[in-house]
Amino acid sequence: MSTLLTQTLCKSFGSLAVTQEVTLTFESGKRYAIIGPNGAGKTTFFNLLAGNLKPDTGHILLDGRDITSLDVTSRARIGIARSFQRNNLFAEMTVHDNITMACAIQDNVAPVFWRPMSGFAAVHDKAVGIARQVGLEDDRHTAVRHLSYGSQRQLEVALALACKPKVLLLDEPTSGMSPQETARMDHLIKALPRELTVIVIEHDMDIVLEFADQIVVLDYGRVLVQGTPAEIKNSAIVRQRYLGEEGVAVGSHSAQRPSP
Amino acid sequence: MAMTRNNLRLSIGVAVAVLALITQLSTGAFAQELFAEAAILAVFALSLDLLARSGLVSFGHAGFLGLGAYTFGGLAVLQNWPPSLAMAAALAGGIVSGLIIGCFAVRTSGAFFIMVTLAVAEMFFSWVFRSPLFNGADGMGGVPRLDMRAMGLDLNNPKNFATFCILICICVWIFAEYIIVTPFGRTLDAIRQNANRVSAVGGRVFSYRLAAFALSGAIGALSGALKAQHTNFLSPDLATWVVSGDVLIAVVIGGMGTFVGGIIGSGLLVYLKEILSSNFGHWYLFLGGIFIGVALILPRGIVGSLLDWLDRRNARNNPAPAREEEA
Amino acid sequence: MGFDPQFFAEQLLNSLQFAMLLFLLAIGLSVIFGLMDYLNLAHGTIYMLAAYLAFSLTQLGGSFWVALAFAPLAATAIGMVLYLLLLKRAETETHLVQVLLTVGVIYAGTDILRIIYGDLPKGVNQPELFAAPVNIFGITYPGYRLFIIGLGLVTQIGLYFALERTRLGALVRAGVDDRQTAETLGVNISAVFMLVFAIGTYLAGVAGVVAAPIFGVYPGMDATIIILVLIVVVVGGLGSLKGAILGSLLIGFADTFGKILLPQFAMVMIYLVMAIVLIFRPTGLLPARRFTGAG
Repeated sequence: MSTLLTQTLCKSFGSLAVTQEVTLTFESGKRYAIIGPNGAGKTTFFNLLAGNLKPDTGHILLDGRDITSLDVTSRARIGIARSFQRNNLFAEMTVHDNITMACAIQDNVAPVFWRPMSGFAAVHDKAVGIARQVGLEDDRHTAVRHLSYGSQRQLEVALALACKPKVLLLDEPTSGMSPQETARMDHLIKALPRELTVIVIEHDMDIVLEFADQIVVLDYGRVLVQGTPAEIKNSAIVRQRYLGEEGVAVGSHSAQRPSP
Repeated sequence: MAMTRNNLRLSIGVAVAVLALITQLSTGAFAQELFAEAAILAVFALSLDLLARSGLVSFGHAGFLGLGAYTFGGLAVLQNWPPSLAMAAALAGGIVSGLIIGCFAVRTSGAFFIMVTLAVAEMFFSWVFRSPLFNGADGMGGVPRLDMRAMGLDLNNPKNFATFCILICICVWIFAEYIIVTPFGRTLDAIRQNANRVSAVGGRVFSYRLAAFALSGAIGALSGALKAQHTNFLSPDLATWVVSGDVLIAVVIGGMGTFVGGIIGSGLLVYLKEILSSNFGHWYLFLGGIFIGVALILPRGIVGSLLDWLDRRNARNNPAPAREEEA
Repeated sequence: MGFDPQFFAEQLLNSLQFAMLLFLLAIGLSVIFGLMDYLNLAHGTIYMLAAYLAFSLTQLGGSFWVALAFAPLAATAIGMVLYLLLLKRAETETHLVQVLLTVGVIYAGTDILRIIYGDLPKGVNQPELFAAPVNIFGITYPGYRLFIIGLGLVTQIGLYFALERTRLGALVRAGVDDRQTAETLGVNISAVFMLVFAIGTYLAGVAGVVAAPIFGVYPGMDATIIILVLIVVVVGGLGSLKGAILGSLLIGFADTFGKILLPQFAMVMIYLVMAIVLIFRPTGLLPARRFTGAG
């Protein structure tokens, strides 16, 4: 069981408070979506969870263990893996080599300097499995730069999956995708193993409402409201702020794709 | 099956090695000195290029060369150590100093790494330049060569020494080529391409770069120990930034990250310097012109450009399945 | 050796004077590096070229002031031709290709000057106006060195106002801060860079002329100083005026006092300062922007 907790997490850049007293519980095996307008501090919150940023105050706990002081690398090793909003891959390698690299690092094979990589059949098999899982098995020998944008997004998720995560953080997995590619990614994230805790930042409300068990709405770095998709849809404050009722500020997601 | 980048690189390497050995055996004593010099520079270039695989370019590599030379020469001359033991000590010195300096140097990258390595090398230079132990600026003579007469090889013979240096260079080249196909070497490649992602998937970038720096230090020290044996002399000039610049230029001319490129670049640089300096008074003018020409015409280096050409040709012959590019 | 306040004050002024010289060279290199990510090692060659041109002008009967007025301009003109013909073509290449190219320029340039002027050091007389020592803070100090300090201060103040108070300065700062954004906002970065390159080159030329009476003019005078200037840039942080000022002061003082405190290891002091700064601030003391990751 892996439960990720944040306790009164705060982060400021200068005078700009981007995360304010965020206390959340992410229960094992559940799906979470984080939504909110651009600038609500969603990616900053991910950076705090993954260890790219250190919080000013507050704590992060995984299964009861305080992991606030661990850096990105250590958190990746204890099961917190992330994908990035902008593709962040090994550009000169093939799809297979990208995934193999991540697997080799996770399996502590990477420091080996006395045997060729080709001899580690287990790592290669694992990489093939992950490529299949994300729907890239036909592109395994394609170099990243020859890959379509949508497939690069899939590879982005594959690298996170290669980390044997307990908690998977997906930062806007469908951003910039065509409708067909979005459908493919939608299918991919719905098919993720149930034992995994998944937290996505996503603007596509169709995907969010269908996918998430719990939705967290961030606004100016604060948790505005949290609840099931039904609760969020019916929440007065969310309707007022984001679904455009009463003509108040329209979030970017609802501008792109009006709520159903 | 189309020729791949790696196959072309390895083929060029084998061709260069065979050509060097054959030519070397059939030339006169003076050319053999040049062969030894080029082979030693090539070992030094391999040391720099191996580090470059991890995305770090050093401008202070002469520090390792100087350290290797002074460790070898100092122990062999002042302490009367057998040269083989002194050589082992030089290698160990390269690893240890690489680990110590690397602890703070590899935390930086890019231009800052260039400057930190330069600083450390220049500090070493300042020390040996003033050190009475090694005769300071005047340098110290009488450095012996390895004693391999038991194996029927007298290294005081220029021909034998040149062959020895070429063989060492070939060994180091095979070692480097082997390292980059191991998981460790692949991880260095990954770090060069995207260090942040390596951290994000749980790789300790610092440790890998530190290991690469120490390994590079050992090979750099090896080239220094060979250099001291070649000239039978220790000079502070071995550790100046000019030496660091020379090896960097040899690697860039040949093609960074290709290994065999650095070897070819070393050979060319030694050859060009010899030809130009013996024929022209103001030969730096020509050398400078050649550098400018290479930078503008072959910015990826000789071997690098060749590999790029191969990529383009392969892409033309079997175009990848066209998929829509978006965003 | 007891503490001698007079000696100390003199060394303080020496440090300041050397710092000003370093600054004149460093600011151009730093902004060119910061704005265009271009590692122009040939910056020092302009410095040497201007010194030689100053020597020629004084040989032809011109005064120091004539040399100071025209030699940097002529060196800038040559520098711009060099930039447009050669250097510009490596703008999108890696730092290493830029190093290869500009080292080629250094080698070729040095030999051309050697062919014209020979290998022997040349001298340029300091201006008579500042030939006499000046009494300051109770010590006598060469007037000419005070002039260099003044020139450096005036340049720093001038650049400060140019960067902070003019439209061009705002464009330069925007370009250093985030080139892509500045370009999408319609800033013609190439034009800004040409101008910055010209100003930086001009200041390197000025440095060459004012350095000539103190250090002499000789082939290779660029190599001795360019390493120090690179250190200034790295210690100060890329692309920032304040960084270049602070860096040149630190290195100027480290150089002068290093020679007094550790005469055996004069350079060690400088490298020590740099190593310490970079351990604690891997991107320098006052960089114009925070760098992320490799490259």
